[in-house]
Amino acid sequence: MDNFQTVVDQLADLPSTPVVVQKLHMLIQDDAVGSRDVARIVETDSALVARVLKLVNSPFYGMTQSVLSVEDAIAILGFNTLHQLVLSTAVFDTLAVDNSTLNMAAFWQHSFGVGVFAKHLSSNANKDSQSEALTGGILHDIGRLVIAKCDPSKFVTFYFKRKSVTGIEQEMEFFERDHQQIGEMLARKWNFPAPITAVISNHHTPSAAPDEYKKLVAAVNIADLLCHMMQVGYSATSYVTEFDPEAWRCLGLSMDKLKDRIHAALNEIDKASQMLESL
Amino acid sequence: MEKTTSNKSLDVTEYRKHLERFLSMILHHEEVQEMARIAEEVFCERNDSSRIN
Repeated sequence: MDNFQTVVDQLADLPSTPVVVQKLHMLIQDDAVGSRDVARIVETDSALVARVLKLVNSPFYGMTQSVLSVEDAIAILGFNTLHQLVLSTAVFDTLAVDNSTLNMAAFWQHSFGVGVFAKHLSSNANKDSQSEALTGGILHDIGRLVIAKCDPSKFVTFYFKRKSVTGIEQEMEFFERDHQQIGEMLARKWNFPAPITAVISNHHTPSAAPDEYKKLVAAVNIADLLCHMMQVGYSATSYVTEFDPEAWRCLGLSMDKLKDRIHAALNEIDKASQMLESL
Repeated sequence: MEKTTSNKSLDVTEYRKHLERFLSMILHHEEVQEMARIAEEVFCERNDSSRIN
């Protein structure tokens, strides 16, 4: 009990939702909101503006001309994508840990890689669903970051000092919660959009996801497996979730098409290497 | 703990060892074997093209 109690106690002290994320969340619920209103909120945080513009102008988004303002970024990317971009940036800012606890660059590479793979596995879906797949992939493992932030010493003991498997069952034994459940606690505290919360709570147990998010969760689950298989980044463990044939079927992809999707995802990850270094 | 993005710095032998280790950690499924075969093909193709470039 002691192990998990420490994490839970400290979770209560986690920084609350950054003000910008909180305000954006409220604003985006309002159908009458305009680009100018959203831009005004984001512009209250100059560091965030700099990061958003850096990301939007990176080769990843393939802009033909420079995007100079948040309002232009919203016009091009849409509210949902900008909201998710701000959310991802804020999460990684808030939960960043010392490199002696976790190699944040490698963790970000894995997280971003899973996002890009999930997006490509969902490329038959509409733009909003692809954007959710990208963000869901980026944020899928935040439960691990929460543990690392709250109790670095137990995190290092569990993931790096033990020789045994570090899967979700072993996390349950050690922390009395697995990283899906711990991530879900943060997602609820921060009012993450429902599809993203579903990914965080079920990416190792895709069959347990709510029906409306099964395909999204399946995309992240298979993307995670492929990133471990292709050694894209590192998420504190080489352990991969057991393969769920139902998740693969849910994607409706043939193996023939998978090869093209893997190529496309890896090319996109390479193109974004500049962005990977900057977050 | 250091790993690369999109695994370009590994050579094929190292990558095959990684794939073997990976497959040993996961229950046998035809689909996973097929994915691993495709992953290795992709790895080799990317390796070849980076050598040419």
